[in-house]
Amino acid sequence: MEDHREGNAVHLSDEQFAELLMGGSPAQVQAHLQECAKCRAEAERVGGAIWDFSEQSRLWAERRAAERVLRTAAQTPRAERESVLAWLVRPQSWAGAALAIALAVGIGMTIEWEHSRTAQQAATTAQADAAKAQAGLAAARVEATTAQAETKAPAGATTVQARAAVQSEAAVQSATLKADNALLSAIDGELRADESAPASLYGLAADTSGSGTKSAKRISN
Amino acid sequence: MGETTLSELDDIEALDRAYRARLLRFVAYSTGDVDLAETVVQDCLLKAYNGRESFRGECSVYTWLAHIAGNLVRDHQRTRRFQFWRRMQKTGPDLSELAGTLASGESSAETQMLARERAREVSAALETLSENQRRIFLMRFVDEMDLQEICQATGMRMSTVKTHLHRAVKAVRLRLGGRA
Repeated sequence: MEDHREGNAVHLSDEQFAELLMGGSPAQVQAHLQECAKCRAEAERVGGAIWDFSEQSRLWAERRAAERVLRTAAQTPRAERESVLAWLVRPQSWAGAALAIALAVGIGMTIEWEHSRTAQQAATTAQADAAKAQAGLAAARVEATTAQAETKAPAGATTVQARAAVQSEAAVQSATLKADNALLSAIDGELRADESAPASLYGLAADTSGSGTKSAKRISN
Repeated sequence: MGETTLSELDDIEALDRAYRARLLRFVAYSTGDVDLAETVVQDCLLKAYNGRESFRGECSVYTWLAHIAGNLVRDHQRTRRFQFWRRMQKTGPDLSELAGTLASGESSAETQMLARERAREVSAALETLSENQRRIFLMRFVDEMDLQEICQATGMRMSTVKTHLHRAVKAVRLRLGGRA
């Protein structure tokens, strides 16, 4: 260990000083401090400055950390003051968020899929109704023609002819309504089928094979 | 380690309350950048919590945290971005913020001013130290870790730690008007 000389006086070396400041105080160093006012003053000055630094930096850090807590509390609503840090590291939080997203996506896709399927079914049903109505209309026309032919029949059949004429008129009216309903349903079904379903974007085809439970709104008498 | 330590690590909020300020002081003075220190401390606490299974209890929780924080600081200091900003601006802790908040109500305004001045001198001296010297000086004199704990936190040998510490003390002494 190298002594620090100043004139005839021998002072503490750098290593001895460092040991002293680090808390080590061999008897030899303590004895020197008792005798040497210069080394003692320096030890007190340097040790005191380090202590001041330590203390002030501690206060600074504590205040900074406290300010952070206050900032967080002020920014977070009372009901949600639980630490964000705690939320981030909680596995169930992430699992819950993932489940919620999966549910939202799943429900959305199911609704769109059901919507698309119903529209397809409505279109199919409406087309079938239209075909039936057309057939009914044709039958009614045949019936009306027959009734008109019967009006040319001999006298005495007036009552029967009048009843037939009324029946044929009613049949034509009913068939026309059915045809109109069927046409409107078919148009509605076509429009629904044209809507782009998000489900199709994920490669899911709409099922049109099942029997329909819903049908287009019909015009009633 | 006892049950207290285990429960400490299992509760991130308790960990935060117990060690944030201490870690912030260490990292802020190690890097000279308060904003970076906030980030590093946050990362450090999260990393410690997530990796708590790997804590074997061979040292104190703070020593383990200081080890993690030291590694994070080193990672940040290696980046060009950090070096650029360190040249461009100083955002280190400002001890003048502490005016009026000094602990002792008994000390006079003059004494407080002198204490702040001495603390600033030490702070300025730290800037002249190498990263390792500064880190070890802070661990010893600010965090009051013993040499064995510093060895555990830094992964350095005892002789290396002592060498860094002696050089750091000498630099601080010179800055404070000690003998050359």
